[in-house]
Formats: sequence, C-alpha cells, structure tokens
Amino acid sequence: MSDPVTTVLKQWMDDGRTRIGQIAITPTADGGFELCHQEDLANPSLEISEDPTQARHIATNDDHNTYRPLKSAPNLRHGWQMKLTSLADLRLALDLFYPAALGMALAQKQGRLTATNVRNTLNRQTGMYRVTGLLSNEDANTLVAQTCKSDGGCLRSILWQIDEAVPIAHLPAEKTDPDHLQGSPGERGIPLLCREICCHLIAAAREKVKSDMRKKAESDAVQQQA
Amino acid sequence: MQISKPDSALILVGHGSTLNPDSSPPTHQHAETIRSRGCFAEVHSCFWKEEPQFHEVRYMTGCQDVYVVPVFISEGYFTQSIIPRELGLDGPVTRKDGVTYKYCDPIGSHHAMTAALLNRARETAPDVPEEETTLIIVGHGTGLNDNSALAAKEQAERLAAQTNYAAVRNSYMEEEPLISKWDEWTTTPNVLVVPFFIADGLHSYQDIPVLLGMETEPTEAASQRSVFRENPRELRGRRLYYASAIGTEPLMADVILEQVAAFDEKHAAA
Repeated sequence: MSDPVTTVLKQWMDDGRTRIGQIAITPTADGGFELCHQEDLANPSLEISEDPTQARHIATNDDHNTYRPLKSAPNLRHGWQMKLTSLADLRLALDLFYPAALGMALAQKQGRLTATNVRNTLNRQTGMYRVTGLLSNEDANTLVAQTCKSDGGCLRSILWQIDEAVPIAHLPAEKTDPDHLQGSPGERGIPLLCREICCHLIAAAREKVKSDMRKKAESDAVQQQA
Repeated sequence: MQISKPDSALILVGHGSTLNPDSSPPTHQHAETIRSRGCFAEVHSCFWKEEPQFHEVRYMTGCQDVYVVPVFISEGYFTQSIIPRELGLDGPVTRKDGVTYKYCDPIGSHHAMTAALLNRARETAPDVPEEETTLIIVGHGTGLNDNSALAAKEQAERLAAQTNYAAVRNSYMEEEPLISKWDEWTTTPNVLVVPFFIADGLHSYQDIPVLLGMETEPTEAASQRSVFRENPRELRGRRLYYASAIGTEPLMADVILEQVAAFDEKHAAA
C-alpha cells in the first residue's frame, strides 16, 4: 500500500497538475514519467537519466556550475531529462528536487499545515542567531521582499506573516496565495509552500542587526570624542 | 547490520551548508544506502542549513513511528538544543499528533565508530608499518561543539588500546594539541590523519590541509576539484597521509542502524 504522499501524487498526476517549481512532468503511456526543466520541453538534446537519485546531483549546481543552497530558488539548471518508470521513483526524485514540497502540499490540502510568523521564529533563536530577535518589523518586511521575491529569490508561496498584526508589505498579493504557482502563472501544478522563514532569511536578519549595531557603536564613539 | 522496521520511518538529521556543496552528500548517501536495503518504510534527510529544513521534514512521512538519528559527530549544542527545539522533541520519546518520535544518539558517540575510524585509517595508508606511524584523530574543538573534543579524545584512547600504531593522538583545529603543530608533537616517520568530521566540507577539506601545511591557502570545495588529494606526501621531514572525513565512510550507514538498535535496547518500552 502506498504512503499518503505517494497516493496524493498519483491523484495530482491524474488530475493534470504536472508542474512543480521549474519542473514539467509528462506522464507516459506506459505509466512512467518524464521530467525536465519547463523551459526544456521543446529541447531535443537533453541528457537522459533513469535514476531518481540523480535528482540530487542535478539540483546541486545551477547553469553556471555554482552551488544552489536554496532548492526552491528559480535557478534549476537546464539540459537534463529524467525518465522514471514508477510513481515511487517520481516521488523520490521530487523529494530531492524540492524537498518536503509534496508532503507540505498534502498537509495544506488536508488543513494540517501550520505556519509560524517571522517574529516567533526570530524570538526562539539561540546562540549566534539570538540577536535576530531585535530585527524591527519594518526591516523584516524589507528583507523578506529582497530574499523571498519569486523573481530571482524563491519560488515558494508564503503562508506566514511578519507578526500577528503585521502582514507582508512589499510583495505582490499572489506571493501569499498557496494556489498560485510562483514563476509559472496560469499552469496547473503542485505549489511550493513556505510555512516558516528559512535559514537564509535568518542569516540575513542577523547580518542586518549586527550591521546596525556596528553603525550605532561607531556613531556613539564619534559623539563621545566630540 | 540487519534491521527490519517496515512500518517505521527513519529521519537522518544533518547540518548542511549554504556555502559548501559537500556538506550534505554524506547524509544523503547514507540515506540512499539504507533506503536501498528496504529496512524502513521511508528514509528521509533534513538539514539545519539546507532543505528540507528541520521543521519541514515531519510532513514528508506518513508513518506513525519515526526514528530520528543525528548525523553528527558528538552530543552538543545541535543534538541537545537545536534539533529537539526545531523538531519539537521533548526527550528520547515524543508523542505528538499521533506520531511517536524516537530520538537516537548521534552517530559519532556509538562504539562502532571506532571500527569505522580504523577502517578509514587502514584504507588510507594500507601498507604503512603501524609501529612506525602516529594516527591522529582531528576534530574541531572549542565553542559550541565542546563535546566534539571529548569525543575525539575517547576515540583516540580506544584506538590506542586496539591497534599497534606507535601512538594514537587526538588533535584540534582551535585548541591544544593543535593540528597545525603536528610535526612538533609526533616523532614517527609516518603520520596518518583522519578528520573526525561528517563531511569533506569547509573544515576537513579546506581548512585542515592548510593547517597541516599541505596547502598554502584553502582550495576550492572537494566537488569542484577534478583531482582528489593523493597520499602520501613528504612534508616537514615526514610522510603524511590525510584521509577523507570519517562521515563519508560507507560503514556510517551501519553505524546509523546501530544507533537505532541501541535506542530500542535502551528504551524497550517505547
């Protein structure tokens, strides 16, 4: 018996929801699946792989052979095609291309995907990231706009706010629509969802707070000298 | 290591990196090895600095019995604070939303790690006379990872008792005995260094070779280089052998399963 994630993946494929992130999935007549970058659908000369675990290697670097630390960034490399023979292989490949995306989309569909606001995430940090709790709501909104934008940042739809009464201010409304495929508007597919800010935004928050602290210390020193 | 848990999931927890592509592959590789053996219903990985992040991984499994194994060298800040906090674990056994999470010890603390270190040492320098060789287990040391220093020391002591190496020493990047002064506190003609790290990442592939004197400045990441380092090399009047990080050793998959078995033994009622 299939696990719940694989079961819902079958429903989504039968339902024609065949886009995820930058990937186009084409079900084949023999029950298999072909995957490629959605911009490579008409490319006749793709490097073919039949091993779903190759997804991890394809997803590691971008077109310029630069490391992709964020798998949901819109910089998936081109030039490959994956031919998979089973639904289990499709699930494994997608879990490596877009980790946890299928599971979170299923949880969202079932109403059990919870989101955590930025303020709560920052306030629970310890060690070198404890200072991120000092980030202002305004600065948080600015960082979110820079880091999370679909164009050049991240293809996930955001489910959280800055704080309970502080919504996201500088991104288009569709960025917070869980049914909107960021980067592939108008297509039918499986959304990439963001239930909580990632380590990239936490690191950016630390950099901002530390930078402000340094500037204030320098300014205080100048005032003391005067 | 034989284990059969057809109704359970295994989650491997790694550190990952936003800078170095070689940090997470050992964890993924061990997950693939265990998955291919079919001993769990599902095998997933999650990372502090990569995806899936700690707080996302629970959505990947439909199992109600989940073993969580930290792919970390020692008990410390991550295994005792960060991982439990981010995964919502409140002890060795946590029951939440109908799921039982079983939080195992990190792989580095299992006694099977000693055999893995010895295997890696002998693979790296297969023909070297052990009685003319110092084996060094090098860890990070200091700071939030303070237990890693103790773990390296314990492994060195076990290896000294079990092998014929002239000496087995623990050493660190940032505390005494410093790996940068390896030629000052060793006397044998052969010196064999095994990094007590999970991945051939920033520390073991880029920083320690500079401290050893093998490189004058950090090289590119391991996966970005076309040639892996060759052994041995003549340096500071000795013959130096430098191994890959212990976490890349294929035997780690068995150490992970050993930690699952050790959990069951210790928490039989869970």
